[in-house]
Amino acid sequence: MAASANKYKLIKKLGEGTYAVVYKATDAQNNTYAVKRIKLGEFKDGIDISAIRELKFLQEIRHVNVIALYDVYSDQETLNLVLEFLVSDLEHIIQDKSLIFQTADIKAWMLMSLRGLHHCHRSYIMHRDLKPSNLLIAADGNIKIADFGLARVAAYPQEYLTPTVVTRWYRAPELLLGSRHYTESVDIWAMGAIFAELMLRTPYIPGASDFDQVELTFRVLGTPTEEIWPGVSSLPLYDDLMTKITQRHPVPPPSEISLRFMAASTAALNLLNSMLEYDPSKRPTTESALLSPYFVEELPRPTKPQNLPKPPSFSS
Amino acid sequence: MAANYWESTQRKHWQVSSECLSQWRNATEERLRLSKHPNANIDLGDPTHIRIFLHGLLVKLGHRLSCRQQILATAELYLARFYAKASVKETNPYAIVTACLYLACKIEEYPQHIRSITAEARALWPDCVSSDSTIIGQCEFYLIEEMGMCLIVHQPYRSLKQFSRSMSDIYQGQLIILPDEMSCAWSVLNDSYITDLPLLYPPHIIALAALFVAVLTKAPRGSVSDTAVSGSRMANLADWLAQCGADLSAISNCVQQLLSLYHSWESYRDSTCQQIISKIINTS
Ligand SMILES: Nc1ncnc2c1ncn2[C@@H]1O[C@H](COP(=O)(O)OP(=O)(O)O)[C@@H](O)[C@H]1O
Repeated sequence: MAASANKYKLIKKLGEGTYAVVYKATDAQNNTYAVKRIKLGEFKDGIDISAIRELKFLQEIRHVNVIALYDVYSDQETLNLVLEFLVSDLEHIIQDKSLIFQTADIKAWMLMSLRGLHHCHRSYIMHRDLKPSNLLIAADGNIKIADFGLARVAAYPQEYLTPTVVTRWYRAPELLLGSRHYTESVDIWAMGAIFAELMLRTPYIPGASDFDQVELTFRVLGTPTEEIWPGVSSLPLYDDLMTKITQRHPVPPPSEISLRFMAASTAALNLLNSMLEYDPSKRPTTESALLSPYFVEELPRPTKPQNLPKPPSFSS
Repeated sequence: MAANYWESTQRKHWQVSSECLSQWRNATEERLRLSKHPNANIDLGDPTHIRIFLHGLLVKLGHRLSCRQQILATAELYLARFYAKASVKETNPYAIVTACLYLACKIEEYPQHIRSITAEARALWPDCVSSDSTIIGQCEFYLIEEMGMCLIVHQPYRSLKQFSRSMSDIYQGQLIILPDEMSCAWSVLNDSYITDLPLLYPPHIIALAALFVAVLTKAPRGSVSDTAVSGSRMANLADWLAQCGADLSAISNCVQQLLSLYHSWESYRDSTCQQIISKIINTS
């Protein structure tokens, strides 16, 4: 269960998040880890709820495409999570313009991410903060879903959820419209936005503010109506937003979408469009996405993880 | 509930044998004795009575905070885990109970501010809880530490509902769990946290035992025909249990422990326990 403190030697500080400081560490066998030391601030405010969520979920989930929590220990009144050491993340890869992506590479990253997400959803866990910087990459090229600080167990139908989740550019329209009864399909939307970003090499719907995010989403994908998304007009923020956004945009025809993604195959576009459906109930589950023609029929096969493009700094 | 019970930390780390539990408890007593803890020699009386007392504290604070049943159950299991590794004699149980609820509220996504939960606890027990909320923060840390940082818990309530549904499917109405029995089984589950059962058995076994206790205690007494009817109900229930391949000896073990809890409860006195606990708090 909990290991002793002296099993791991902290080597250097890797970075600092909101509730933790992360160190590179090794054990006696010279294996490398990332040790996340949770700040407790002299117990004044209790342990941060994001830290609690991360601990809670990572203790239970085991999957090659989810960051592994190897061990936990406490020392000097600090909780420490011993995590898999990861060398990069998808955001860095997308932004590194020296790297060329092949269609098969994008397919591999999507496949691994969706497999990890499938494992979460099968365990009734919604991630609620999927974005390229939370899809970490191991030295062997595997994707690892990380940062469970906003994750939660799927809700009962009558339970209220907070709509203020997911980093803005990846936020599903039902969240933008203030829905309090959403499902795992918010993660599917985020994966759709990431899919588009992998193809474009730039964020697909980069709103400058929460309001702008709504406006931009409508401009890119059309203004949702009751016809394409039954129930949209009864969402909490709908009336308010619709009085502020006077311009109505038609839903872009498939030909226009395919112009935006020149290199994408039909199977890729079909999957993308389904993941970015306005009506959450029309989006695929992780399972049906994984079984879509894009993954199971269409060539090329996904690139093997070890052959994926890597930044030069990448050391294994 | 999140994740699968069979792969859970609860099954891997927090479902132990009764030998293991007594070993933990003996080790704790030994530690107190060797460190000459001032409370080492206090007589706690019937250990079940102390557990009933702690359960009462938790339920009282939980209701004050309008916690759902699920939160209470999570906090109850945290409390049971904590006192499997530590002794009441070395802690302030009021603070530990508060920390269990504080953490359970976070885990079940019903977060409370540490200062407000401390204030609520103080409103109930002004002489036993400090106004300094960092103490609750410290207790939260020790609690997480003692639990080996395993936070997700699996509860028997959902199993109970599933069993009742599948039973009426199989017996097509012949073996329906009556509403009375169902609510009795539910409260037996609430009481099961006072015992060691949640540390010893998987949730579905406890749910089956609770069902058994409920049918047993709700069986109509009196006329001969009633007894015959309830006798055949018990037989059907036993038959169903055997059919679904449940571990009958584990279930009967649980039933025994539940019945002995109720037996012990008859001699329970709140004031006696309160006095013992006050003595502990005042010396530590
Ligand atoms: N598993 C890991 N392997 C390597 N570096 C990591 C790992 N986890 C976190 N880091 C580094 O530590 C920094 C802070 O991590 P974290 O606390 O998760 O931050 P945030 O709150 O920004 O998500 C990250 O930006 C990253 O550089």
